[in-house]
Amino acid sequence: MDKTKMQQYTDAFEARKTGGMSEPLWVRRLREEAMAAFVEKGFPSTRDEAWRHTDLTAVREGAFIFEHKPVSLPQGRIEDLKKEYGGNLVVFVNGRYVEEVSSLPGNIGVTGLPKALESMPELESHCGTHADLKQNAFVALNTAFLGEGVLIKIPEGQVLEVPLRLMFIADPAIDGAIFQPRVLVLAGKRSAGTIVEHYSSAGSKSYFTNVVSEIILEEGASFRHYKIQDESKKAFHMASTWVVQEKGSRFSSWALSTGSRLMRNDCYVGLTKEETSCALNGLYLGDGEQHLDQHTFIDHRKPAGKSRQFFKGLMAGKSRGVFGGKVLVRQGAVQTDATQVNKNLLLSDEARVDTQPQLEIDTDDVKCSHGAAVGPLQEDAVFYLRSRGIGERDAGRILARGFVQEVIDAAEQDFFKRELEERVSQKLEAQFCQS
Amino acid sequence: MTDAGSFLNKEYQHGFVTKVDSETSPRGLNEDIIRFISQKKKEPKFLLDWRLDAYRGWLKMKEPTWARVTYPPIDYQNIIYYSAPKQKKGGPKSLEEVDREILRTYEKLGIPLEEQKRLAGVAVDAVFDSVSVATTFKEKLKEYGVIFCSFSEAVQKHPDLIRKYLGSVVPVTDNYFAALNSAVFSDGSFCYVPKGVRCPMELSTYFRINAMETGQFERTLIVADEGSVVSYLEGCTAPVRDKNQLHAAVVELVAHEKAQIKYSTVQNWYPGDKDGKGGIYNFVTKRGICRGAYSKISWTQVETGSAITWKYPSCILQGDHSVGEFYSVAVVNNHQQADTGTKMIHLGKNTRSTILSKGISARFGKNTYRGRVRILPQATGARNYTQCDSLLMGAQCSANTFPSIEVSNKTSRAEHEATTSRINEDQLFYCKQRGMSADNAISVIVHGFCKEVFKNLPMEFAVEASKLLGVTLEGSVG
Repeated sequence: MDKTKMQQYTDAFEARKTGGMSEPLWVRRLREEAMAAFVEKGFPSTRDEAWRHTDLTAVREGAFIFEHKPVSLPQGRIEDLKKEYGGNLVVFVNGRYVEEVSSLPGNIGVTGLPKALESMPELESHCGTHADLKQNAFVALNTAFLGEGVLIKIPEGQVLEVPLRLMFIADPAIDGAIFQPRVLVLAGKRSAGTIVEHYSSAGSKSYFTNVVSEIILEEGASFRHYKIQDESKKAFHMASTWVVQEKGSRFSSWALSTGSRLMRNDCYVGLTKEETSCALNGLYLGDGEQHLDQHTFIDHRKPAGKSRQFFKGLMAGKSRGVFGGKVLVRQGAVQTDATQVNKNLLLSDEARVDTQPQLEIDTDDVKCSHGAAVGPLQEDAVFYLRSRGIGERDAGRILARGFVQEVIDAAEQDFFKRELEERVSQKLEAQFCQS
Repeated sequence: MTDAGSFLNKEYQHGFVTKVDSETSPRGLNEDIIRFISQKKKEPKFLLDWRLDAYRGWLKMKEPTWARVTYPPIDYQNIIYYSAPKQKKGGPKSLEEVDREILRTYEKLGIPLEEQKRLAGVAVDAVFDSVSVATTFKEKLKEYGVIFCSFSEAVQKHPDLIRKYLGSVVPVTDNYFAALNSAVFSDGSFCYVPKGVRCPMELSTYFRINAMETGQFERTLIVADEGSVVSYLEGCTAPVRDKNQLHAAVVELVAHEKAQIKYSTVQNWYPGDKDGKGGIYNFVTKRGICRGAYSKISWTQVETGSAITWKYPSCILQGDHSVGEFYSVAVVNNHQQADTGTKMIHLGKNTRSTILSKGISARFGKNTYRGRVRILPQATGARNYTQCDSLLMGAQCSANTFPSIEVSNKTSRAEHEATTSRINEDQLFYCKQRGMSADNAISVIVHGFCKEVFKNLPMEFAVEASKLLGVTLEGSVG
């Protein structure tokens, strides 16, 4: 990486050091290690296998601003949010957790990360140990500036009845801000809960969100992770979610990506103990010049793990969709049952999809499969609708709606299904205007 | 259940060494060695320059490391790059003059080399170590205007064709091993089928590495002119040696308008012993280009041998409506490693490609399918279908599937499906319950698994492939 471009990151790191923020020694050490890893590697290039289809030149060449003044949301906006989503709300503005406007459930602990790091030394064994800062430059960068974010702790046996919504609102005053929040979830034994991470933009400035989430599921825990990313088309969005599953735990996730100019969404799930199961679902819908990249990595380490993956993409305009999904079955992880499906529709001749489903299997007693497909809308089906007097564009939109419904149905909870349906319909409207 | 088993090890059948006087180059590689090879073969200057270009390009390149194979570093200076059976002056005029020992070798291998075996109906160009020793059925082919001869002969007799097509599909610096081959290749086969001719028989090359510590670098070039049809078979064996030997070949196919080329390989190089000692490193570049509209190239391969296989027979579908096919069975047992697959590059409109890959891993075998399907924006209406299945036998073997699909227009379709599992217990139980032994049952199931690929092989190859499969997997299950 260019030295002058690297300068801004090292400068910001130094500034933070002299800024006199108090932090425990282990946090400082972790940050230093992460910074060293980032300086050594820099951002990946398309020569790296995992980034072959995603060109990061725009990020690499970008100049970013690390320090920004806290912004407060207008009262009316907060009321709107509460009205719209009700219940439990954790609000972030420009990457910073705003406790005052958040409304929190009683039975679980939600703590701002700076406070949590200070007061809970036991976090050392979780924070930064699951997200791989050696291999992933964006994790390294986020960890190097660790400080903003939130810890969500569901105690043993507790059930979070109402889903917790994490609203990440970006409203920078100037172009080029970088926000690096971090989410840490500790789901205790036999606990259950749902969170929704929601990223959206308020203003029209360009910015860069680089978020890392670490989710630890203890024995028998059951956890749902939903994500909605509809940031403005001037935003870069780099996100990675790292899940560690203990014995008998269940994890499911659903990620909707409709926004941002350049997105990369990574999801790593480590099935570290026996009899775990996970299901990852997602949909990426692009138009204009959007570049949406969805990656998954499921690591079957122990026997009798089960994983399901189901992702669909729909690309219009000059957008580009990328899917990379890896299933690794290690030696000894017998009786693994893994499937992965990725299907894509191209709506324009300038859109493009690259898909790389990967199976890496090191033992014999397994059942694994993957399937990937890229294609246009079915001609017969379009013809059928048109012969009944439906215009070409509407016919396409109806079929596309049917195409995505299958993934939407994989979302287990009704409230989220409804929200998905609404958002997807809106996006399809925009996509078909262009095609 | 599917563990290392009771009855093992039918040994490598083709592991004998033939005693023939041979003429070899000194060890190592430098420009002088290349000049030596070129001079030995009395090559025109353009070819020497071409070799030297490749060599200089190779010096600047790095050995690729992305494949899922591991091997100790190869010392390229410790290889003998040229080894030829000593010949009477002027070369053999007819089969009678070819060294009896060599003919006996081919007899042992079961190749219909001698004219009396005409009934077999296969024209053979046999390559022994680095040089082509005999080509049968020349006269018959000549009647049809088909040129089928050793590469060296083609360089002498048809330099224009060589100049026109050599390196046109696989450029000299395409990759590390192709560049090495371009610099030092010693012989190989050349085939030209003129306009509108349907080649009257199947053409075949048999490769054999005999000498110790030599590398084999042969080059095959097949050109099918407008509307012609040709089917080509390739077989390989080598003697048992403790040391690893390098085989880096290049195969180029050119299909003009409405031409069809079918290229079938049964690769049975020495795979090393059961502890992974010795064996051939088979690093091969194979690529075909469908230049004209409605042309077709079909690759079929059965990979049972070699310690390491690294090869990706590919198709560049340039002509509109052209078709590319890839059918593969790759078997790894003991410590064998295979990283193989294909590339289908769709450039022309309405081009179609089919990929069918079956991988079988037993014991410590490592099998990787690596494939790439690229549909470019101008390739409207393109179609690809890919299926790769893996069968696992043994808790320590591995199977990887790494496809990459890139589609850049809205009228094309690409589909990929892959499954990995071990032998179905129900099927096994069914067979055993009817009185079959476990080995027999597995053999039946495995043949069923590979059937879709075998049916694309020419008859006599299909039989050989089936037998080979049985031999390779014997004792791997119990």
